[in-house]
Amino acid sequence: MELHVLSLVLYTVMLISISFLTLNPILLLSILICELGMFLYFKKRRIILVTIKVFLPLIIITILINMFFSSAGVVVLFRLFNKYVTLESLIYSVLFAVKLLIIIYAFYIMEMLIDSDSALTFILSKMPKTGLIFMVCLKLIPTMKNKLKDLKDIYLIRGVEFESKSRFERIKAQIPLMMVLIEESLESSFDIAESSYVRGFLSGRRSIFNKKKFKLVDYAISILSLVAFILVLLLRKIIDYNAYEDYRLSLNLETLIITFMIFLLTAVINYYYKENRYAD
Amino acid sequence: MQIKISNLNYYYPNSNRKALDNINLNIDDGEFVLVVGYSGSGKSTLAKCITGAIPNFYGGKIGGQVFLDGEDVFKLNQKNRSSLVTMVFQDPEKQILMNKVYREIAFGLENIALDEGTIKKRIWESLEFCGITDLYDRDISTLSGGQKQKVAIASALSFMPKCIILDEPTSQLDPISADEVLNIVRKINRELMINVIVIEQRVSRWFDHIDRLVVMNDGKIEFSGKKEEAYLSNLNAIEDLIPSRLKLAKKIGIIEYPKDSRSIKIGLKNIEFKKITREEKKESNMLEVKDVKVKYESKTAVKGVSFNLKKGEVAALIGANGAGKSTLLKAIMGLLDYKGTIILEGEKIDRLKVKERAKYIGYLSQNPNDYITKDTVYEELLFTLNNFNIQDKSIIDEILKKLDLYKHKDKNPRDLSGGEKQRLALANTLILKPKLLLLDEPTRGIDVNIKSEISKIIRDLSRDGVSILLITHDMEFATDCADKFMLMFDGEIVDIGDSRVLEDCIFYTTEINKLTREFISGVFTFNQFLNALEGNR
Repeated sequence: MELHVLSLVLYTVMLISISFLTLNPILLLSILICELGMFLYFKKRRIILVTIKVFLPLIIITILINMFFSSAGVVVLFRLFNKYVTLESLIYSVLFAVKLLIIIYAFYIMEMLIDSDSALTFILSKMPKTGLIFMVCLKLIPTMKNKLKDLKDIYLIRGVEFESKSRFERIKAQIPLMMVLIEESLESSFDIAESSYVRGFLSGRRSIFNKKKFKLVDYAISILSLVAFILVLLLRKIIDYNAYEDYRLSLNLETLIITFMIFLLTAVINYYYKENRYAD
Repeated sequence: MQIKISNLNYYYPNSNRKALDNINLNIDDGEFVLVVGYSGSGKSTLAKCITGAIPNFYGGKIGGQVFLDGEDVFKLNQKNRSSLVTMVFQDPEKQILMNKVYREIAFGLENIALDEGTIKKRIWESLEFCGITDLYDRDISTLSGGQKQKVAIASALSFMPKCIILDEPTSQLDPISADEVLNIVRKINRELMINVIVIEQRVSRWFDHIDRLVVMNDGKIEFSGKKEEAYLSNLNAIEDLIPSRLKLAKKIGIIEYPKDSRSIKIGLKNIEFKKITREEKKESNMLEVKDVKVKYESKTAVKGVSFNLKKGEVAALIGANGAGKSTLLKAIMGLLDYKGTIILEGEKIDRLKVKERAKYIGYLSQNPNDYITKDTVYEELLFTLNNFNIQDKSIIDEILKKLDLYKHKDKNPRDLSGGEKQRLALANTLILKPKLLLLDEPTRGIDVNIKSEISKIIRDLSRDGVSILLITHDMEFATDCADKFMLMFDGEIVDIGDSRVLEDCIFYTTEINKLTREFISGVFTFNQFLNALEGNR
C-alpha cells in the first residue's frame, strides 16, 4: 500500500523543522538513527557511504573552526595556540554538524519516498497552472545541467578562461554560457507549454490516473507529524539544550514523547513502504 | 478524417510577413501525407493551424478556415480538438514532461478527463502497438532518443485521434531509430486508418509509404498531389526535394513511378558509364592518431584507434550512435583525457591544453545557437578573437566575406536564418584559421539547401589545405564531400579508406550506390551519377 504524497511531505518537513528548531541531542540523535535506519531498510547504504565521505571532512572543519573561534564554556579540554578548547564548544560543533547532516539526509529521504510524478500529479490536480511551472522547472533543470557542460566545452574552445585567478574574470567567463542557457530555457519552456496545450492541458477538468486516496494511515502520519512539530515549537523552553549554559543533558518526559513519536512515525512509514522497490 | 483547409492566411504576432499565404488543401480520410519544403517555408505553421495551436496558443492574425470532418477547428473547444488531432514534435526532450513512461502517456489522457480504467487500457494498448511495453515504468531519462520519440508517438496514439501530425520526427535520430519510428507511423496509418501528416526535410525515408505529397515554399503550397503525380511533375521545387533514386529513375527515362528498385535496376542495365577516376591525395600528414583509447563514464568508449589524415583531406566518421565517434573528436580536441598519441603536422599535441589546441584545431558542435551570445555578427567573431588576444581584426571581414555573411555583419545573429546561423558558427571556428576542422553532425536537422551550402564550404576549405574530420549519419552528404571514410563500431575503426569501403556496405551507403554499384563503382550521389553518365552521351 502506497502512502499519500501529502503525508510523506509532512513527515519529512517535520524532520527538517525539528532539526532547525532544536539542538537537543536526544532529538537530533533519534532523527539521525531513524534516517540511517531508513537507508539501511531500503538498501540505500550507498547514500550513507557517499555522505560520510563528503561529510566527514566537513564535520572536522566545522568542529575545528568552532573550537578555535569560540572559547566559551567552562570545561577546558586543552590549550592550543593560546586558545582554550572547551568541552562545550566541542559538543556544540558536533551537534551543529549532525544537524546539517540530518537535514541533508531528510532531503534524500524525501527524494526516496516521494515519486516526483505522483507529487506533480497531486499539484496538477490542485493547482494546474502552478503545476505546469513546477513541471517545466523539473524538466529544465537536468537538461540545463547537461547543456552547461557542453557549452563549457564550446566556450573553452572559443578561448574563454574559466579557471582564471581573478574571481571577477571567472564570473565574467560564465556570462556567455548564461546567455545561451537563458535563451534556450525560454525557448524550451515555450515548446513544453505548446506540447502540453496540444495535448489538452488546461482545457478544463482533469481526471487523475492512479489517484492516491488519503487513507486512515495518511491521516495518522499527517496528524502525528504536525503534533510532533507543534510540541517542539511549544515546548522549546523545556526541551531545548544549550551546551554553553550547561553541557549536562537532563532527560524529561516531553523530549521522550517527541522521540517516541519520531520513531513511531518512521516505523509506520517503513512498514507501509516495505513493498517498495528501492534498492541500490 | 477529412481535412479541408480553405483560403488560410496567417501572420505571426508582430510580423508583417505572411507565414501562410492563401492555403487551400484537401486531405482524404486515412491519407498519409508528407509535407516538404525548405526551412521557413511554412510547414510547421500549417501543422499548428491544424492542431489549433495557431491562433489559440500563438496569437497572430489569421484568415480562412480549417475543417476537421466538417467542424471548424478554430471553433472547437480545446478538449475536443485534442481528442481529434494531436502532434509529435521534433525534439522528444521538449515534449516529454513526466519522469516515468506510463505517467507521460497518462498525462495527455488526464487532460481530456478520461476515467482511470480507460487511461490504463489506452496506456497498455498504445505501448503494445508501438512495441515498447518493456518501457512501461522506465525512467524517461534512461531512454535513448529513439525510445523517447516512440514514447511520444505512443502518447499521441493513446488519444485515439483521427489525425496525428509529426513535425520532423526523425531529424534528431540515428538512421536505425529513424527506421523504427517510420515503421510505427506506417502501422498507425495502415492498421488504424488514422490520418498521418509528416513534416520532413529529408523525404527519401518516407516517400514510398505516403499517399500524398505537399510541397511548400514561402508560405504557399506549390504542389499537392499523389506521389505518382509528383514523380511526373517537372516543378523545380519537386525535383530538388524528391529522393535521389527517383531523380535517377527520371534521368534514365523511366516514365511511370517506379514502385521498387528492381525497375530502376533494369533501366540501368542498358546504360554505359564513364569510368570514375579517383584522385589520391599526395599531401603530407596533417593528423596522426596513434592507438588512442578514451574512457567515458566508466566505459572504454574508444578502444585503441589509429588513423592518419592528410593535408586538405576530408574524412567522414560513420557509425551507429554510441560507437565512440563524438568521444574520439572530443579527445582530439583535448576535451577528454585519453591514452595514446595525437600528432598534428608532425608535432605531438598530447600535452597541449584545449585553448592551445584551439589555435590549430577548430571544433563545431551540433547546435549553431550555442555560438550566439552577442548583439551583432561582427561582435560574435570579435569575441573569439579577443579571447585569443589577436590584434589583427581584418580577418573578421575576410571570413565573413568567405562565408557570405558580410552583408549581415551588423545584424543580430538571432535574426539570421538556419543556414546563416550554421555559417556563423563555422565562421567562429574558422576565424582562428585552423589547420584541422572537427565537425560533429553538421547537417543534423537542416534542409537540403543548407546542406549543399555546407558541403560546398567544406570542399572550398579542403582546397585551401584545411583537413576536415566530420561525423555524420547522412550518407549522401558524407559521400558528396568526403575523400576518406572511417566506419566505427563499438569504439573501434573497423574499416578505413576511400569510397570503396562503402561499396560493399549493407547499411552505410547511399540508395544511389545500392542501385548502381552492380554497374559502376564510385557513384554515391545524383551528381556523381550525372558525371558518370556524361561518358554515355
